[in-house]
Amino acid sequence: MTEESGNKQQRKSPGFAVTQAYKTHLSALKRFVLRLLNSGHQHDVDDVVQEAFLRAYAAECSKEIEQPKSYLFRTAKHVALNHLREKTRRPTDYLEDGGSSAILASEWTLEDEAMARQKLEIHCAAVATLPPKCRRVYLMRKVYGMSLKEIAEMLDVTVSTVEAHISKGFARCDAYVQERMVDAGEGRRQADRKRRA
Amino acid sequence: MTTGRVYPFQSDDDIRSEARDWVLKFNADTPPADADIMALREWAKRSPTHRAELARATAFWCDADVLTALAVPTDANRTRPGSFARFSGLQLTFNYIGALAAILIIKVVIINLFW
Repeated sequence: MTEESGNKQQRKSPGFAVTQAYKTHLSALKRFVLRLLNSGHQHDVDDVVQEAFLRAYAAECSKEIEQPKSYLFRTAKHVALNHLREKTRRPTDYLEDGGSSAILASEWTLEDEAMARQKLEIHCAAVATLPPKCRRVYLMRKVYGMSLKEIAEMLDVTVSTVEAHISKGFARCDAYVQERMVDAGEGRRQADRKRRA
Repeated sequence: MTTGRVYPFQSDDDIRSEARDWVLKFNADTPPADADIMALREWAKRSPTHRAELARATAFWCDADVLTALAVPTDANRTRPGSFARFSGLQLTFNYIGALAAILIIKVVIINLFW
C-alpha cells in the first residue's frame, strides 16, 4: 500500500477526527479545563475549550492526528496554562516606555519546555524553603492563580494576612532563585577556567 | 538631569523590596487605578536602578508562573463528584514524573493544599 492511498483512507476530511473527538468528549474536556482553571468562570472555560478545538482542528488540516482525543486534551492544557499565565499583570507594561517587555509577554511555546522544566525545578526548590503557611498561600496563588479574596475565604483569614504571606514568599523565593542563578553562573565560569587551564 | 525632587537615599535592597511591592500591587484582585499607574511611573523615574529592579521583579513573578504546570488533573474521566464539588481543583496528579526532589516535595504539598 502506498503512503498516498493510506492517507486517502484515513483523512476523510480535514479536521474530521478532531471534530468527532470534540463532540464525543466535550463535557469531559470542559471538566478538565475547569479543574485546571479552578477559580475561573464559565466563560473562561468556554474560551479555552473553543480555542483548543480551533487549534487542534487547524493542526489536523495540515497533518494527521493519530490520537485526536489525547491531542485535544493536551492542546486544552496548553491553552489553559497560558490563560492562567496571561492573568499576571506586568507593571513594566504600564511605564511610558512600555513595550520593552513585549518579548517577555509572548506566549509560551512547546520549544520553551526544556527551559520551563529547569525553571520549575528551581522555583519548586525555592518554595520548599518557605514556612508551611506561607508556602500554602504562595502555591494557591501561583499554581492556581486564585484571587487574594478566594484564598482568604478558603483559609478563613483576612486578605491582608494573605498579602503578607505572598509578599514574604515572593521576597524569599526571589532571593533564593537569584542566589542559585549566581551559583550556576559561577560554576560555569569555573568550568570554563578549568577547561582552558 | 534634575527631577526637581529630592528623594531620601535608598539602598539597593530597599529598591528591590519596593519593586516587589509594585508587582504585587499591580496583581491585586482589582486592576491598578490611574493613581497607582502615575505613582509607579514617578517611582520608576527615580533612577535606572529602579527601572531595572522593576523589570527584574516583574520577570521573577512571571517566571514563577511555571508553577501552574503542577496543577494538572491527568484523567478528566475519573472525576469523583464529592471532591469535585468541594473544590474543583482537588484531584491532582502530575505530568512531571521526573525524579527531581524539589518538584516531588512540592507536589506532595500541593496534594494536601486544600485539606
